[in-house]
Amino acid sequence: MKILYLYPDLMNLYGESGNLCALERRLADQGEDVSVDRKAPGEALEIAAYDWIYMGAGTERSQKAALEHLRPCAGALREAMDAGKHALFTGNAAALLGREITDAAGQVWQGLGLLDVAVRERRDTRYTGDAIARHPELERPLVGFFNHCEDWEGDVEPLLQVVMGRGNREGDSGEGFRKNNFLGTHLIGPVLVKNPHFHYWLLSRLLGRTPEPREYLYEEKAWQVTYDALARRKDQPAE
Amino acid sequence: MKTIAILACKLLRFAGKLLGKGSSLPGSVALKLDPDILQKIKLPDRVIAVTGSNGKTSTVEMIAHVLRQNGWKVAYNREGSNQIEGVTTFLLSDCTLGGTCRSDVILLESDERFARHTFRHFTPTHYVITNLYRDQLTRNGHPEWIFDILQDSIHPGTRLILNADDPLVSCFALGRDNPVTWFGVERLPFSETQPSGRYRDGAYCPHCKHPMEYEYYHYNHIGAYRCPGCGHHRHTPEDAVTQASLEEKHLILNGKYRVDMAVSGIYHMYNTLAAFSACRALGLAEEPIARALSGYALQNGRIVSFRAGERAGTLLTSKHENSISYDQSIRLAVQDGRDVTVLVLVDAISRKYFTSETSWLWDIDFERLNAPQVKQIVLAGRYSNDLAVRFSYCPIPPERVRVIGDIGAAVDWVKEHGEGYIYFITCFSDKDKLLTRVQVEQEGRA
Repeated sequence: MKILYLYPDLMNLYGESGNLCALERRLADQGEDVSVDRKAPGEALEIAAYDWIYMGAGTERSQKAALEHLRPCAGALREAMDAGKHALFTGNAAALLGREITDAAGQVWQGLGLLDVAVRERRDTRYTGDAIARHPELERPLVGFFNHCEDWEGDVEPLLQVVMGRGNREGDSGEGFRKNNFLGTHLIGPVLVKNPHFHYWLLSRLLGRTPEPREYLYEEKAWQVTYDALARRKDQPAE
Repeated sequence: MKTIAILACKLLRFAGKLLGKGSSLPGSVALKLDPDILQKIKLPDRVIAVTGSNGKTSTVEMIAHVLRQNGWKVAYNREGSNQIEGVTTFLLSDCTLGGTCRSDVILLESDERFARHTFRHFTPTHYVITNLYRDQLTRNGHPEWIFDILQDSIHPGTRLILNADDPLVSCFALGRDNPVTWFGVERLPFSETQPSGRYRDGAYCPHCKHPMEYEYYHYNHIGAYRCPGCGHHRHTPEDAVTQASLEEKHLILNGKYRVDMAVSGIYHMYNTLAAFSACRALGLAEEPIARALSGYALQNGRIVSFRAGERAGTLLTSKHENSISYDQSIRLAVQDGRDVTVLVLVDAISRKYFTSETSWLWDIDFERLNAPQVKQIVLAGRYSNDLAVRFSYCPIPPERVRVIGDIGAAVDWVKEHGEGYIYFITCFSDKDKLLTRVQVEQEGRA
């Protein structure tokens, strides 16, 4: 199993590295040989060589730097997506795949064009907050945190439906995107660590089979503690 | 209206003190009576503000101490009165009814997000920015977001006193004419040539995002850097730590002024240096500043010694959601040199607002606890499972790590089975949950 971890230093808002640690362990626990290529901007990328691609959240300026470096790979990424390859983009990494990003200063950045989405970044408003989001194929929702300043306009199939927190735009509970096996969510940080059931779902798809049962007790307990805390909090007015 | 507003503020503050109420109400009433009150009072010639992610309180405390030792009359806002209402209460309390401040210096600890609002009403003459890190990202977004917000708090004419070793902080000098005093720590025996820590916020230039080059690092992104892309670089500091010994807890400032430190560690060194640089900029001479700083023990209760049954220990107050403050505590515990038992408690992530966010645990360099002298590690509190997951990815022998969610049971376990000296590492929001279960020996002195 070959994994491409894009820009681990540049696109790392906080805790994103946990996703790769967790995925590597789970794949190894399933008996898979795993190799992870960590690539920095400027390094040559052979997108087609990988089974799974990951990029995490970054600052708005880091995201633009990532965009410029990734731009020559737009075609290869589209081919990978069309061929059913797997990828996960968390936080504002997902926005790179859209048609364009208008930053807080009004500058328009052409996106990689894999999704029919126009992204607008706010200058004074940041959407930071705890989140609960449902996945249509999973019984238990995901928990996590949003930390971005984006409004999405356009037509994408969302990955999740928010129960607590904000969707891709005001008044829309749809969150993130799902196109073939390319997935994106605004949830930041170690999403796969915090949501062992989502991780299991992802693993099944990646392996193309039902994974061997393995116990991740602390991950399960940690999810429950956070879910309970958020569910209690959800209906209270904001501070 | 000015006098009435000042009088109302003073009366309400007096009443509030009797009732043990907070400091924002008197100021908010005064602002209602006279929205321009802060423009109408006469501030002293020196108004100094301190902001940044870490070390604000310590730096402000040390500046106040040095100035007072040198016979200056100082008014400074203690923690909690960062917002405009609190600052108004604080400033008006220092005023005569005629609206003239009595102190020689106004010293303000300023919250990074509120400074731009506060300094619309008045402008500091000196502005210290200590550092910008990943801190309380649930509120702050990220360091560059805070950088942009802080830009709006800087006004022409203010002297900036900036950490030359922080590549993001040094960007404040770009594109503006303000006079700048740089402070920095020179290369020391313990400077590192490779970056340490779990993430590399110094990997790319904050100005142009080109890969950055470092001559050495002190910790995280703090060190001597140069960007080959745009030329952004560390400025030669006017005020510098030129020598230091972590073991003997002293440092030498500007080549000849020795300061004995009550607390060891590079982080405290920066706070001491920032205070030194600020006091110099205010007009004091190097020698009396260094003399006042030497041996000064911080009063802010961040380090507390205690006894737990038969054992002695120290609580190191860190900040949840601030990986560098945890790294700082972890370094202190590991550098102790004796055999130690470390208890990490994460129970309420914030005391000021709700969040259940634990991503920051992945930014803490817990790997550093994989040292032979760290005999036992206990993980406690509501988020002990998240800690347990995080520790399961550290190369620490699992038999040394214990997960005991219940805080009382965790402390009992340490009392009974802990080996060596005890370190408690937790946040302000959680520290009393530990301190009420042990015998506190010395609070607030380090």
